[in-house]
Amino acid sequence: MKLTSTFRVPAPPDQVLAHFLDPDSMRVCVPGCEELERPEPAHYRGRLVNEIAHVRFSAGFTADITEATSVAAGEPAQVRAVLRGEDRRLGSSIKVDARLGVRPAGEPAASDVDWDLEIALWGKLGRLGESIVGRRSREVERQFVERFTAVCAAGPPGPGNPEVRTHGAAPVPVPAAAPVAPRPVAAPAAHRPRPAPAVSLGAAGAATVVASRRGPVAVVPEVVPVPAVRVRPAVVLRTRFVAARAATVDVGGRVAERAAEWIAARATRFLEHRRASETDGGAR
Amino acid sequence: MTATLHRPRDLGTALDLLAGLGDPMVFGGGTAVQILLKQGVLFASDLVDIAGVPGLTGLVATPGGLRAGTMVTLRRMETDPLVHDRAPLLGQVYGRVANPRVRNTASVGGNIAHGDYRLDPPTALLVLDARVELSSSAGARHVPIREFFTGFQETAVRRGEMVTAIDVPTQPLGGAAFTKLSSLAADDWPAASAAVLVTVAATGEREIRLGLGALAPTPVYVAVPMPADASEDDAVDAALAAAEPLIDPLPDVRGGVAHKRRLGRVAVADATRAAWADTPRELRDTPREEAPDVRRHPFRRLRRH
Repeated sequence: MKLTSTFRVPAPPDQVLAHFLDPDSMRVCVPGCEELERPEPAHYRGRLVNEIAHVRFSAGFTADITEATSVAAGEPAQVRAVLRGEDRRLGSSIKVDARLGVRPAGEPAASDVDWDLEIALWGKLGRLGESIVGRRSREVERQFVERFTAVCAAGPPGPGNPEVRTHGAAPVPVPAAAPVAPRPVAAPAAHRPRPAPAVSLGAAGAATVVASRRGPVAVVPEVVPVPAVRVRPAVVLRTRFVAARAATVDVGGRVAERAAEWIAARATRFLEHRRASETDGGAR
Repeated sequence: MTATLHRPRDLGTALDLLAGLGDPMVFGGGTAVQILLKQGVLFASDLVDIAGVPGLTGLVATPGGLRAGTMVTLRRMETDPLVHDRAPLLGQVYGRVANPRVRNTASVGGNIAHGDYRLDPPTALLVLDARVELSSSAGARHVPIREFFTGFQETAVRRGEMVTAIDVPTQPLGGAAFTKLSSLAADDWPAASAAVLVTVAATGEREIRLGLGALAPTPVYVAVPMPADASEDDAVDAALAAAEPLIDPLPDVRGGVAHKRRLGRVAVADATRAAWADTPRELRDTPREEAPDVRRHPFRRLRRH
């Protein structure tokens, strides 16, 4: 997967390049970068935490600078680096071949940065699919450019840079993906033909189902929803008290019920007895 | 990678578990969670199975609509007469999700909490303007479904929260249709889906509400006003013009960007044509059936904060 991008930052090229090679600046700029150190001049080591879809990864990585040319008059500075990372838990690894170019822009104290990133993924991250990883990478790239521009605008690299000092204490949290803004499509709809209806495969495989509502709704008992709130202890006690009182009252209710049953049974027996005696009398 | 399974018996315990555990994940129907666990891309230290929590499987009529608890199965939404009566579009759309085995197990709340961009039910919930109830140990809050899907597989569900119910207003009188186009099998994820509802916007004006699935990183919603005397072709053109800027498909095994964009246009056009054709000429607003929010939750005002 290839990511190519060009952007302009408000700082001279040598300062921009110094920012790219400075571990403190990079740690502040790269979203999700939790550690970054430079044990040797051309070697970096760090940890990257990020999330793609439901997959959270935390990968230790190393970066080696294979080629670096500094800013010469009129010539763009160029850096080539190989970045390797691995997340043991996910069983995934990533390799990025990066080429970075910085050249002076037309305006004073500004430079154009362009990069090509060749990203290769193995393991479960790779299985997510390039389109998903690519989309997330572009988001991360956008966040990086935003931060990097702020850091470059704030001054030269080092502990004195106000942006680095502000954010240097804690790693930059990975911001949630911004809601995707609708992108206007150039071609107006008027010039496009209306698409023909999809071929339907009969009732079972119909592509379109119609589900209009025509008449009034049937009258059914309606329940006013009560939000699921936490029951307070006082309410629980009160409920128990009410329930207990209801239980006591219920004893009386049950006695009355028994009495009524008894009376009904006696009355039925009496009536049956009388009816029987009447029929007996009629026969006599 | 193993996760601890918790089986709380009441909502309070479940919410406490979600708030207190290290990396919890709600286990509803489990159709998505199981697959992601097996693929080894989902890491949760604890699974909170809410199947034993009472009060989450209710599907009841409310003043102005219906309310589905989070553990109501998709199959029940498909077959319940209450849903067919009050929101027929919803019943049809739930009936087109995946296959009967999935529909018998998957839950209404888990479905939207998954937040996948290709889901069918959100398209109908978007045009019907449903509301999602999210509960945490701090209490409940309500999020309109149109603000629920915040990013690629990201939703408004915060840490420690879970979906407890969805409130759906009664479907307004008028035409409604749903189109689902799949590139592989008929019960596969769609390459494009669209739900359309034609309803009254103002006097003499109609509104075409569109809910699109699988055509952008999130399910998307858009509405266009239309004069009531417009022709079917005008309606289709207006719907296409409104939907086209929002179509931004992800290429995958089901098709590239151009293919999906084209299928998206077909889905929008077909659904709009069917819904517009099924809308009666004399379409009147039905204010009494659409209860305002105040009536839908009278107890909210009594709650102390």
